[in-house]
Amino acid sequence: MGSPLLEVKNLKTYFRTEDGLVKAVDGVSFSLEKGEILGIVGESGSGKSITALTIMGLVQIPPGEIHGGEILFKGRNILALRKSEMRKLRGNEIGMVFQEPMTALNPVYTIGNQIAEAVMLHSDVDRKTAMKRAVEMLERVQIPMAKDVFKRYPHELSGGMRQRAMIAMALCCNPELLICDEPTTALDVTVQAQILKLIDSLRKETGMSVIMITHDLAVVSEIAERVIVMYAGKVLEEGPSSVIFDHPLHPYTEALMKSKPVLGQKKERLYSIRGMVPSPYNRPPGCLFEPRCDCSMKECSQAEPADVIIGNRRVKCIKYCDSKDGNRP
Amino acid sequence: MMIKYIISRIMQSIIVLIGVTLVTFILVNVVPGDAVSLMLAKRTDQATMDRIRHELGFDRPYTEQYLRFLGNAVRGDFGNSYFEKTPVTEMILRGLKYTVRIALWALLLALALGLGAGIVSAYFHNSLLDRVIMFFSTLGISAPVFWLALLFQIFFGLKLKVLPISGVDKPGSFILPVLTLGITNAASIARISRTSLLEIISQDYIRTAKAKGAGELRVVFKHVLKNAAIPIVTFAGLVVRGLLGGSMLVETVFSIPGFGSLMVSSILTRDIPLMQGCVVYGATIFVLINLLVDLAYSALDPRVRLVKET
Repeated sequence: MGSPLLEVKNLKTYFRTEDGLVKAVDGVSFSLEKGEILGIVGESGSGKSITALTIMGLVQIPPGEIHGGEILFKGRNILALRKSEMRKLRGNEIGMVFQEPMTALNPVYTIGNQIAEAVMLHSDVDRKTAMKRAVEMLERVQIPMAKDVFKRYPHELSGGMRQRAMIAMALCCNPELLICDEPTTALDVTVQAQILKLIDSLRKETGMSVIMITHDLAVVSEIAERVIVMYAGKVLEEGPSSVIFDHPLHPYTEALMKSKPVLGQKKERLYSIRGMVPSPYNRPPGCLFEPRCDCSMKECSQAEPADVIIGNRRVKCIKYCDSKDGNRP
Repeated sequence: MMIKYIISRIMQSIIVLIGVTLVTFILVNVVPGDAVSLMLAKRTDQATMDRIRHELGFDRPYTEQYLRFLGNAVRGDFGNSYFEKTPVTEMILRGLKYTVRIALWALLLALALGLGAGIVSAYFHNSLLDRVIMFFSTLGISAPVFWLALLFQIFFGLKLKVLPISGVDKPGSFILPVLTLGITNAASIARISRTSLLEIISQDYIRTAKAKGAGELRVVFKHVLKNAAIPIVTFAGLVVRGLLGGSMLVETVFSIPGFGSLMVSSILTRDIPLMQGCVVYGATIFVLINLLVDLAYSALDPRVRLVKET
């Protein structure tokens, strides 16, 4: 097995605000193989989008700061790259699709103009070739009448079409990594399925790797091979999607699964995790999920548990720590 | 598509102008105080007054009077001023000559200064520089324009003795009015362009542009400015209207025989043809600027085209 395409090691992205330091991403590690789809799930504010933006180099500094860690893309630490080098990477080798197709496209330029711009930014082609390439890309994301859509403005297209156009834009330079930040959240369910299918088939076609960020467990279980579960800036659990949802290890993953509505099953009340995500200004000293956890123990609130590797899975919970682990104070 | 939109906007403008002439006509006739007796200062007998009324057509039915007024107005003929006995159009054009000249320079100054300050403020937002610029722009917005004009007169005219403080004949006599109007409007433009730029910079599509790998300059000049220009154009339209409609206060302070002064004096002397002429010319200018602003909009923002077509 070769080295992974992307390796994130102990990444810490903090924000300095007037109210204090926010540790949006706090020691996140994961890796991604070539051609693999990795799902990142978590509630809003769990740091999944900031992780993606950090990889893209799009975190505003200040107020943001990369407090530590490494992001190895094809073996190169891209956190150490100069601005101009990072710019060559963005949109070229790493593409990104955003959550809101309604607002992620510039309203005053045509779809074609915006895709052609991306082509021209990274390859030495004239306007005509770039435009031809843009039409080709629109066809590839299965937009009917691509030549017509090319000349349209974003407000003239439906949400699904806009998201397809976004994907076309992200893929026009054949990136090796595509980051999708909640690509289907703003779309209705039938369109969601189409977009997911499209992303999956494009991945098979090009052999690119995909990071799929979502809070929707159904999306992840449908498309991702491996999943990491994030909570308050940390990875609580990682494992293959085939097992992680059926047999969750971490109490948080378990609770997430329980709060997912199941079709055809009439429950009196949907399960909800009690309490709230801890305030970013005032994180508990021990396990971050401890205040809301149904199986918390006395030790949980004392120190943060270490990662435990169980087979091809990883979990951050004291339940799986050996007593001799030296994890307790 | 675009041509259809332009034609429909022009038709709308014509309807507005007809409305303006109608309202002016009604107002002038409703207001108490007879023009003829005012003109002659009641120094003649009733028979002479009736004769003059007849000559001026004031004894005709209102509809006939209005249609004649409208017909002449279309040809740019508003009759002669009661007091100066010269054609109203000629007087208005003479006034506009000064007003337009001041307005254009003031607009240029306001845009250059305002946009420059706004862009700098937005780029370095929340810095000390930004705060200083915004402090002065708030000051500029709050200061009454005639007060600013007086200050300039005192400082440049009386203290430094470098610029004439009134009139239009001496060299450099336009500098102070232009400076006054330019600075007041620049203050508002700075504020609006700063707000607008900051709002656009935080939009999702700016992040998309960065994610494409666009450099900072490209992001600002291609993606930010065109979007930010929309509210700025609206406001610039308002500024032009204000300036061309005659900045009465400034023209009064600097004794400039411009359009604004003309309108004020026509009202004070109840010079009806002149008053009507001023109102119609003023309205035409407003409608024209509105039309231009709207056309600029649809050039900048494709969404406007869609809304207006349906």
